[in-house]
Amino acid sequence: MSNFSYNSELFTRYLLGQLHDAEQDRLEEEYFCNNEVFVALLDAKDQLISNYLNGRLTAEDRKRFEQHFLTLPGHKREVELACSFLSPAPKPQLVTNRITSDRKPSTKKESPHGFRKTYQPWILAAAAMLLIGSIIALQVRKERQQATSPEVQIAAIQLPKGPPNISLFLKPTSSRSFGQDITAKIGKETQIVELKLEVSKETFPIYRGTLHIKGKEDEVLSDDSLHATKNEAGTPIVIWRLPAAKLQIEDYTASLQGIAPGNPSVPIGDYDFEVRALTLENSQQSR
Amino acid sequence: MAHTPLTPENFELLLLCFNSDREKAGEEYELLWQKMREYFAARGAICAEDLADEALSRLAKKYAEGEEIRDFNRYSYGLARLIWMESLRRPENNYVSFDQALGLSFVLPDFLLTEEENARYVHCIRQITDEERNLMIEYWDHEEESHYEARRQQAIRMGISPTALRIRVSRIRKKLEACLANCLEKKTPKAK
Repeated sequence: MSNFSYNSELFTRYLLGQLHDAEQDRLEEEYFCNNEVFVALLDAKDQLISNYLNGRLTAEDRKRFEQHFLTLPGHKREVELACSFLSPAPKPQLVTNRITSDRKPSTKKESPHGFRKTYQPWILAAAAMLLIGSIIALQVRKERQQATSPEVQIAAIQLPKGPPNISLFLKPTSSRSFGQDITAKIGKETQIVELKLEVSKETFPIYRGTLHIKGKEDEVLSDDSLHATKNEAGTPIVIWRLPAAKLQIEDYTASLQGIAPGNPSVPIGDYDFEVRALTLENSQQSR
Repeated sequence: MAHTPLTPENFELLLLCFNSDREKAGEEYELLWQKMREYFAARGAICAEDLADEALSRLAKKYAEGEEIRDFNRYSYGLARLIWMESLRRPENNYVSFDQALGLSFVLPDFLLTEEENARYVHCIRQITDEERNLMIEYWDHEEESHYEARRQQAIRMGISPTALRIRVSRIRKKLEACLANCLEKKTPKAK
């Protein structure tokens, strides 16, 4: 039996470009020669896509996924298609042995395609109607959401493309002065919102940042590997780059903690900022 | 686009070489193409699919010309390596290492996909058959913890091998991608 028979960790490292050359060569030779290994690799790829879409990747892996995996057109299309089939819309009742609970999977020799044989044509037709109905319902729901939800469908109207990166210099809420710009105006093509968080001094070797929507407890993003540096003015700052795709039109609080080995983390401060859609109006106001 | 054209005759010969059963031969061909594509994609080739086409065209041509190929899989692997090295030497290919490349944040359709893009997805999903749609939904939307187990169970229920299931999903995916590309082409005016 192959050593690679099913090693999801190894496959994931391969897909994220983290294997050494020799390891990569060995795996590739193996999957060329062994279809089972290759199919297992494709399963690992689907698992990786699913984990990414469900927010189950670590910050490091997510970064690698976006920097390595998603930059290839074929992979990006695969992710988009997977997302289409993972829609939150109610799925039609598939007539399978899994759902018709009392019936066991067919093992009769005369029906080798047991899956198809359990279908009744009218149930298939009903399932198809349900699916089309749910797709239409999803469309209607999206249209209603656009009208009422605070989440603005930025690209739904002709909006400015926006810069690929936005940078905000933030002071802790307790010491913020009036006039400080705390609004990130995200355009269609904005990819990164970079927070430059002022700290009193570069005390800690490492910092932990957590992001919350104001008034909510759920953590939107976190990063345990932030470091302090100095800006052009010599002010100590911690830089945290947030993927724009993970941000909604909301008011946020970024909390910073200092981490020293062997000691409990020390709260540094809370930094408030806003995310808004870049519009023709507010893009001209900021000039 | 492959530099070596794949002629119908060479293609048929290659299929026969894979398996006398045309259906099974088609699966082998499809799987080999995917292996090629993954190989080139792992190296960051933007044109991974074109290189995969080229590799299979050359394989078919070599076989048709009478080259003795004892182990198709190993030969294909060697051919992939050769094509990759050739690709690196072409001056028009400016490969950038992944560490230097800008990360691309995936934009979830729920949030920032335009109405138009969303409509294209809905349109293309409607173009596939009910059976194909059911298969794709079950393929992605399952209750198992791992996709590996979910695939295995789905293949058992369908009475086919996991490999055959994979091939079917790949074919449906290609249909959808072709539809999306077609929609995009219709939308984009051609340059004069």
